[in-house]
Amino acid sequence: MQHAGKTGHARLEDERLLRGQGRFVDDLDVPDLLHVVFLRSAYAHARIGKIDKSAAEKIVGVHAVLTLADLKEVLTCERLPAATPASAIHFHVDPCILVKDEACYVGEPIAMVVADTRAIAEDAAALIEIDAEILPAVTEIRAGLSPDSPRTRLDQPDNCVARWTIGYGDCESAFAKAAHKISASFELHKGGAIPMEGRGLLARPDPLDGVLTVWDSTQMPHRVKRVLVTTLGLNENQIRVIAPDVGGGFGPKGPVYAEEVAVSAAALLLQKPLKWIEDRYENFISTNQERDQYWDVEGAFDADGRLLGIRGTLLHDHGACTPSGIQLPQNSTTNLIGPYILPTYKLDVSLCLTNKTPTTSTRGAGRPQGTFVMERLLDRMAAKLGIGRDEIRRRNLIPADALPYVTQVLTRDGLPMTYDSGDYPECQRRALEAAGWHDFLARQKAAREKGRWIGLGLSNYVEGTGRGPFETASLRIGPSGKILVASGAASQGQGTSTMLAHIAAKVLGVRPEVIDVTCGDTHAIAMGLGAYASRQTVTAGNALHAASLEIAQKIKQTAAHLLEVSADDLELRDSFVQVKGVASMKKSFGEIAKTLSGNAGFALPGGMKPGLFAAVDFEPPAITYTNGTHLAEVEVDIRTGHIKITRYVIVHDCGNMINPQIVEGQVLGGVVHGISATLFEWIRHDAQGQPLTVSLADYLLPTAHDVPRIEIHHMESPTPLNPLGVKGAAESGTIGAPAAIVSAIEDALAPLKIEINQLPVTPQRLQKLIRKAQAGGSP
Amino acid sequence: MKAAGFGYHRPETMAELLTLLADLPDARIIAGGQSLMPMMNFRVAMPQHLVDIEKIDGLDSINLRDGIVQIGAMVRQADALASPVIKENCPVLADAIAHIGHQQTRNRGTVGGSLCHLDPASEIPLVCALLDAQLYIASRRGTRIMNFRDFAVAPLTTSLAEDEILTHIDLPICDPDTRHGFREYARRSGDFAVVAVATHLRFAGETITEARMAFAGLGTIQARADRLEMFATSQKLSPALIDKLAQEAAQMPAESDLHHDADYKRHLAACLLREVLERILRHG
Repeated sequence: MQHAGKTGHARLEDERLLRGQGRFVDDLDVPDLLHVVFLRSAYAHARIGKIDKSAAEKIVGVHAVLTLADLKEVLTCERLPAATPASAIHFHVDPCILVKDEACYVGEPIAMVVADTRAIAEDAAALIEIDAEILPAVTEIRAGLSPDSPRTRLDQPDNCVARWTIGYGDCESAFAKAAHKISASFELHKGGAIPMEGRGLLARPDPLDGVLTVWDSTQMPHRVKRVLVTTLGLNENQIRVIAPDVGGGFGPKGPVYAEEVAVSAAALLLQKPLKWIEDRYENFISTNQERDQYWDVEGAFDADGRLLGIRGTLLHDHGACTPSGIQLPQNSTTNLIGPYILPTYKLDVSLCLTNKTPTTSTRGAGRPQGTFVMERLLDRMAAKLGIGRDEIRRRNLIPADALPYVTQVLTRDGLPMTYDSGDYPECQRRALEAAGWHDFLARQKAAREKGRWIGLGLSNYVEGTGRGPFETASLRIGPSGKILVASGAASQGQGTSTMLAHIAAKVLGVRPEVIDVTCGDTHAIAMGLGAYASRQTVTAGNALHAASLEIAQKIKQTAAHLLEVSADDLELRDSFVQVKGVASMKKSFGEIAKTLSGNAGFALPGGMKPGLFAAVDFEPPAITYTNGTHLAEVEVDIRTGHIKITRYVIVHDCGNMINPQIVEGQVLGGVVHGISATLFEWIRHDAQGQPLTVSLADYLLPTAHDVPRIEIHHMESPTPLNPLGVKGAAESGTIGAPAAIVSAIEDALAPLKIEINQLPVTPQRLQKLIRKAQAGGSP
Repeated sequence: MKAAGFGYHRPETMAELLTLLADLPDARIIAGGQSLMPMMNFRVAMPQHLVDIEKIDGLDSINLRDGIVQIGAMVRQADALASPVIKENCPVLADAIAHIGHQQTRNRGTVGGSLCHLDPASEIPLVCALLDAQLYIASRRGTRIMNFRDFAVAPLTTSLAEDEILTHIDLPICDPDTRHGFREYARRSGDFAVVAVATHLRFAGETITEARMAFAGLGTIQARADRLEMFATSQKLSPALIDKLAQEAAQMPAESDLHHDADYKRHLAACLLREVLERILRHG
């Protein structure tokens, strides 16, 4: 595969973005624009009675104060029809578009103020009076699952919104015959996505053409359109959703939120353009997050440290609604298996509704937690057996010749989870070599003699990428000769346009810069899905690849008639089709397109079909699996508990790379998210469900000081599942990080025999473990 | 969120300023705005009036006189950090300021702003507590001078009256018989300290004749640790004394907050004090 990137193309988006010429929702301005502020629940759980808007409505500059009752005039339903289906869910919980009579988390929108400015709207929102009867809140999942717990929502039978068992094989027998067993309990926290740009939208009804245009900071504009069509009762041609430049998504901008419907409905009701921009505080309380999982697991091994089985329970904090079904905990359970042979498996999973912000996937999407559990079990068994952490993995990794490897669990498309390609033992071998694994013991010994506590950790993982069911792409060339690409893919900064342009350019023999790519606009292409599950290069990339091949072929066939040569003797170069080696015999793409656009009454040459247009829906036959090995080196200050990551090495295999620079950017960003989840990010609430970490002063993210140099090496095992041989790379960096970093911390502190069972690993938590170990170690 | 509405005033003379402070209801002085602006944007602070003191002459100088370093309230933290006068005569302040925020915030943030905001984890109040800074406070009623101890009432609370302004501070210079130390632990570079310690020891030969030790971040306001100072005074600085002082530091009162509990803070206080003292012992 010929690469762009280092040897070829920088991202086409970058110059515009770096010059500050990006156009994000908040950059958009239209005449008569009004601003929306949501009044949100201040209570984790409350019955909402009368809402007195009178004082707020009197503020100069306020145009409207709206509740659900007011919006009903333009809504077809009260609840947001946005849930992802899941058979394990006993009862779906869709939130009301604005709270009707029960608020179920702090941050749930109750009313909206429309005013000349955001500041005026905030003044007015503070004057809305609400009769609220505070109800007991469910704030902890173990308590929430107990039979005597108060209920998260009064209209639901209990808090256990879903319970199922994943597994296969005879786990009981495996444990009965095991030579070694270990058990462990983990409290794994993962935070929010914290994109630089929060959510936000501008909805503009146009009385001239009757179209409601919605510019929305979303990962899935076509899904937003579908929800708006349903909730507003409009036809498909009356709504256009555009995702303009989007400043990061990382998962939570995939689901559709009540605010998107409420602002669009209010714009229709008032017949005014309205803008709502989520601020950081709102992002912390109202945008979906991940939060807590509690795992109690046991691993059974044979005498050599080969896995015989894993069993246990997983409790998952689902928040107050079920916007993404069970996909987040489901990913955790399936990804636990990772690149290893796990003969038997049984995990009982319970999802608890809580009076907190709903949880859905953030980058990694539950996989880092599953990977963490498996990798901790392997490290602990290695310590118990006195073998290397690398060796126990070698004994359990799926060998290269076993691929494609069919695991015994199903993914949510109903197919067996099948690892299509890769070489996991070789990936680990290369990573160990790159990080100097075998020399590290000597370095560690020397450091310890100087009172320095350094450690090296590793993890292996897989990532299911390129989820279906399909993605769309079209390619059109008109008489202007301009190559126009459109796709249902949507970019939040990943370089999606560059990726698509490069794929089309290579087939059509042009420079990527000459291709005009439109992503994230429902008027540009009728169907599409968008960004989730590290999928767009796999799905949209292959769709466009097929469309480009079709157009290239048609250009040659048409030119063959015009130039009276065989199509096989033609080549495409710089927007011309020419006879190979005879540059004077050529036609421009524009001339070909003009020919195929027809002349009134005349036949097209050679019986060609009209136009240079191709649209392809690529349906991936199955998920394709990216894999990697992470090695982290850390130094621990045992007095403060401070952890410094000093080095980070990755060997990464996402099949063929379209643009290595973009892949490296994705992996690097993913690792930083992983470092962040491991050491910093922690969403805290008090016992009444009040969120306590609602600013970037209290909710910590890593800065440049906290991120080491990250060294990325590539393997390229092309997948047989798509013509380009590509796999996704967007979440991979996050998945391996917590396990590798914690492995390194435990290695650094090996003389103290410390076990880390909680994420994040804060200095305070670690220092207390150190002091406990030191106290226990003294006579 | 957006700040609630407020009146904005930018007086050009001290007399004009003092009149505004005396006459305006619910006025807040804004210096560098590094704490006040976020608080206003969160609507935690909603003053009716902001009085910007940037144009007032004479508040941004650093002077040396009679064994005193005098620092104007509007001196930017970045300028204080770069000042040779402070570096030579009050190095503990320079060390402390290097830990405040980032270059960008230090370019705006001021010495007086930090003192008047009085975050219990911040560095400049710590040094003022350590050295018993004298604070000059002006109002239309006249000028008064007070010790930092009397200025700092409680976290985020000073004894300034509504019509008063802090104009400058006096810090004693460090002479050749004194040794100072500063250490802090923060989660990330530039964060507020979890705990910070500052020491100032005067020696006659090997004997400590004057011991000053102060802590920030323990939850109470920055203050000298009288009990520790008592143990150190008239003693020789030795490993045994350092052990003793660290043990005492580990017993100090501390308050838990969202991120760090009292036990961890006391542990850090002891570790940081030990580091500071061991360094002085090693380097003399």
